[in-house]
Formats: sequence, C-alpha cells, structure tokens
Amino acid sequence: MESLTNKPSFCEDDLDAFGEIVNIAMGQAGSLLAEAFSGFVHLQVPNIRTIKWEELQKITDNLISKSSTISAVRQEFMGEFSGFIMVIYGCASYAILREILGFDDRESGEVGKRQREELLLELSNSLASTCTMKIASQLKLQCGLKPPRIVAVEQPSKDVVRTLFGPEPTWSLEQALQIDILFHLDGHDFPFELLITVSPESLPLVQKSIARLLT
Amino acid sequence: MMTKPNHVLVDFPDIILNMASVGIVAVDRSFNVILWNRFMELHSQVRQEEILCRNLFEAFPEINRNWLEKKIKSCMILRIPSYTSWKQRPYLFNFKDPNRSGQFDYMHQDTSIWPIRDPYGGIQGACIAIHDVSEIAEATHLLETAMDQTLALEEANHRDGLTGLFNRRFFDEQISQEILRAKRYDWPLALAMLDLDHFKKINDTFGHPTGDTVLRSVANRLTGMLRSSDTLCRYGGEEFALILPHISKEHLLPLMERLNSAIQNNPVVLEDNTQITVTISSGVSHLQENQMAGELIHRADQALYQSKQQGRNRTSYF
Amino acid sequence: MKILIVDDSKMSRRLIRGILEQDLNLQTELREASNGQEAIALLEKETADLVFLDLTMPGLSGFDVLEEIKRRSFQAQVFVLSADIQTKAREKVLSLGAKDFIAKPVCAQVLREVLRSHGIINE
Repeated sequence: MESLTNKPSFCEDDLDAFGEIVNIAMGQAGSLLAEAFSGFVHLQVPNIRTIKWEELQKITDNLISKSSTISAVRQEFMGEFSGFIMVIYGCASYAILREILGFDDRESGEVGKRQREELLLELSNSLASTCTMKIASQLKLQCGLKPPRIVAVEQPSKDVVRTLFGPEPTWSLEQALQIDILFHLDGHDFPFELLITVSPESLPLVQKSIARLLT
Repeated sequence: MMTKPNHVLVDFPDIILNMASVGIVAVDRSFNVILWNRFMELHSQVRQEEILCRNLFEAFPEINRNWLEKKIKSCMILRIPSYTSWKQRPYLFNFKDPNRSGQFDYMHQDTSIWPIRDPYGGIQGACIAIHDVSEIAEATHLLETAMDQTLALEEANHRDGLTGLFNRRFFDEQISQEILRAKRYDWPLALAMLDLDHFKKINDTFGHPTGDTVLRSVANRLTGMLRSSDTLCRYGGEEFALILPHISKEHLLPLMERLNSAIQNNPVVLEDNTQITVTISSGVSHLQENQMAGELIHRADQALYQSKQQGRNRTSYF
Repeated sequence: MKILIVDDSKMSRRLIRGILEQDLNLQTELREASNGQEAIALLEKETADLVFLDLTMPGLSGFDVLEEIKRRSFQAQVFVLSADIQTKAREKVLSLGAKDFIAKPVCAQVLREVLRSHGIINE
C-alpha cells in the first residue's frame, strides 16, 4: 500500500523539528490563553504523529469510547497550512465553560440549548484558532480558519463514532500529520482533546518551512 | 506580466463604506464606533455621522453587552477571528427582515469578528462583519417544517388509531424487511399471532366502548413487556401480530408464557372500577429456510388455531 | 569553554549549536544530551561551564535536572530555554538556581544579549 503514495513522507528529523515548532507555538498559545481566560486553561505538551485516515478513525474511536456521551466541534483551516480541527469534549460542564468565557446568559429550553452550543463553539474556536494560527505563524505559512460548527452535542459516543468525520476524504491512503493536544480547565473533571489534522497537500510546504528554519 | 494596481484610484475604505451587501462595523478598544458602512446605515436607519465616536452599546442597548464585550476582548487578546451563527444566536443587530416574506420578524445574521492591528503590531479594536442569512434561515426553516410534517404523516400512516400500535399496512412492510434481515445476518426470526379470547362476549356484555378500552389496555400491557427490536401490530379486530427478531425457541416460549399470564393476572379496570379478566391465545412459528412472509404467517395462524382448539389461554408452537 | 546542550529535539540542539558556533563564534567544546538522565551522566563524567537546558523532556524534566545539579553542587551555569513562556515557569527555574530563562524560539541576538549580560561573553 505504501508504494501507492508518491507524496514525500515525513522522516524522523522532520517530525522532530515539527514537534519542536509545535511546542513553541503551544507555549505562545498557552500564554495568550492564560491571559484571555485568567489562567483557567492549561494545555499539555502535544503528541504528534503521522497517520493515515484509517488510523485516524481508530484513534478517534478509542478517544470517544472513554466517555459515554460526547460533544464535538469541527473547524477547517485553509491556505498554505490546511486541514481540520476537531475539539472533543467528554462530559462538558457548562457552568465552568460559562465561568471561563464570562458569558452569563442562562436560559432554559430551546434557547438554553443554543446557548450551550454557543459555549462549546466559542471555547473551541478560541483554542483551535489560537493553536493553529500560532503553528502556521511559526512555519511562516498563510492560514485562515472557517467558522466552527457543531458535530455532536451530548450524544451517546457509540452513535457519534461513524458520523464524526463525515465521508472519508480523498487522501485516505496518503499521509497526514496529527497533533493531539490535551486541555485541562480548572475545576473541570474531564480534560478535552484538540485534534489538529494537517492535510497531505500542505505537507510539502511544511517540510520546506522546516528546512528553511534549520538553515 | 502583472501591472501594479493604481493606488490613487483604489480607495479601499470607500469600497467598504459603500458596500451594501455586508455590514461592516469597527469599534476601538473602548467599543466606540469608528466605522459604519452603507449596509449598516440602510438597515439600522442610523447614519454614519450620527454614530461615529459613540459607544456601540449605548447606541444599541438591545445588544447583549456582557457577551459581546467578552467575545471581542478575547478575540483581541488571542488575535484570532471569532464567529456567531444564526443557528445559535439569530442576530446581533435587531434589523427588519428585508425579504418581507412574513416568515420572520427580523433579519437572521451570521457574524465574524476580528482584531484590528496597527502597523506596530498592536491591537486597536475590532471589526464586525454582518452577513444577512435570512434566506438561508428561511429555507432551512421551511425544510425542517416540511420534514417534520412528512415524518408525522408517515408515522400516522403506520399507526392504528385505536390502540396506537403499528397497523396492518406497516406489518406487511415490516415482516418482509425483517425476513430479509434475518436471512442476511443469519439470525432466527419468530412471528407470533395473538388473539383475545371471547372478545365478542365482552362486546356483547359491556358494549363496544368497553371492548375498545380492553383492546387498548391489552395493547399497552403487551408493549411494555417487549424489547425495542420487537414490533407489535394490530393485525385486525382483536388479533395482534408480533414480530420477534433474533430470538431462539428457548427464549421465545417463556416470553409467550409471560405475556399470557400478564394479561390473565391483570384484569382490565374500567372507570366504574369494574374488573374484566381477559386471556389471550397465541400461535408462534420460527422462519424456516426458503420461507416467504405468507408461509410464516400461515404457520403462526395454524398454531393459533391449535391454541383455540385446545381450550384457549395458551401458546402453541408450529 | 565547555558547553552542554540538553534538549529532546534534535532540531533545537542543532539550532543552539549553530548560534553558538557560527553566530557568536565561540571557541567551545560542545556536548549534547537528548534527555535529563543523559545530561546528569555527562556532567558526572566531566563538568561543564555552561548548560543550555530544555524544560519539557520525556523522563527527567528540566526542573528535575536543575534540582539534581543543585543537589550535587555541579558548578555549571544553567540557562533554561523553553517554549513554556508563562511567568510561573520562569519564576520556578530561577528559584531552582538557573542563571536565566530564554523563550523559544531562540535567536542569535537574544542569546548574545543574555550571555553578555551575565558576563560570559564580552563583545
């Protein structure tokens, strides 16, 4: 199967360098997020790996199965540095999200449901955009983000597994890069996960940037 | 070769100011309005000169101040765009729906907010773009309403008006589907035909309204004892058909016994506290290889006939 | 001058080495360690004048290495280089005896300025 892909693959040195760049970007993102959310948000050193679509499915299935219900938000980024971001909340505590974001609306019924969705979207956008833009700016690559959208709100995990990523993308055999960042919120029992999947199309540019940074 | 654009002729701020398709509002760090374009003038009926240098929240008190301030502040610190969607928050500015179709009282809006940088890398305020998405919201609303109606209609077409169980028409579709599924996945499928004993006598003694009450009560009790994968239908008059996928004979017969005794041991209580004890007879059969729906129903019916012959209130297996 | 660079990232070690040797033109005897254990082992063998130390590494972290250096009274002057630029990390490494804290990504100007301010180089 490997021979079917003629895209350059990420070697160990590339991965090491990319890892360091992501760490630097996360340091900057962490410090901004601490300023924006009064130190409520902590991020853990990211895990970076090269993956294929099938593996991504497996990793996510595994991730989702940790919690009985999940909420998830998806956001695409485009330009020279492109891909998609998935923020996966296990059991979300809306009281804490409200506290962190400083939003004080608290209605019941249909309006309340939309306000809770908004909390998920707002926090996801803040984390996903900050981390992604910082990585792109370390790589000196152009990048823009589309608005985030809700994939699931408190749905049983088993129902979400298949719907989370939608249809399989065309790059299922090619290599993508995945950055997995764990976030901890003060007072929130469950950490939540930010998965940044860098599309195969942007990998050659990422490699070029790395080479430039090393000279 | 590309020619350089003539900077004298291209006045970007003017283009933005005259833009009538997207609303553009910019505020400084204290939320005073520093840019208000044509779209905003047209829909708010507030002119640029009236609002420039005024605090946005004082000029538009209907905006949720705490929420928007927090949102703009974090987008200025993080230096990222932030968004709102009509799906979660129908609008930011309360404008009239320009489409005038009468669906909604207000314009639905998607917004994006991004920080304004100065040439030295500092953040001087934020810019808000307002997109009129009323047509999308309206189309979505119509689609959702139509889908709800279709689902409700479909549901009504499949239900028996008296007992609320699935009706005969649904049974005919469902049994064929379940047979296909059982064959594909190679699991057992059973069909039970159930009949209320001496139902004519109940009707004759207590009248038809009471007969209806008895049918409803039996239907309710049976439904409560079944798995979610089982399908209970009103087959006709006082006869019910029960489709039981994925069940072996060892589990099937005890289940039928439980159904029989639950009906027998719990008399139907009428409004005047009269108690009527009813019983059911049933016939069950498992799907055989190469069998079609008609044959399976026939075998279950024959088993039911046998139960009736042998004195009722019992189950026969064929 | 004997220098030890401790960082789990090869790229990072390469960048620091490049700055020291090419940009600052230092006559050095350079050694590298890719984790905390290795660093301690190298320091045991032969001390270093300067240590450039990363904080987040698998196994022994930079904080652990700092504590170990203090406990064993190794004479090296430690400069921490980290992506964790929140004030808490800076305060903690200084309290553990580090000479200074340098935010990653490291560039030649900043490193030169820091080393000059501590009197290690004088240009």
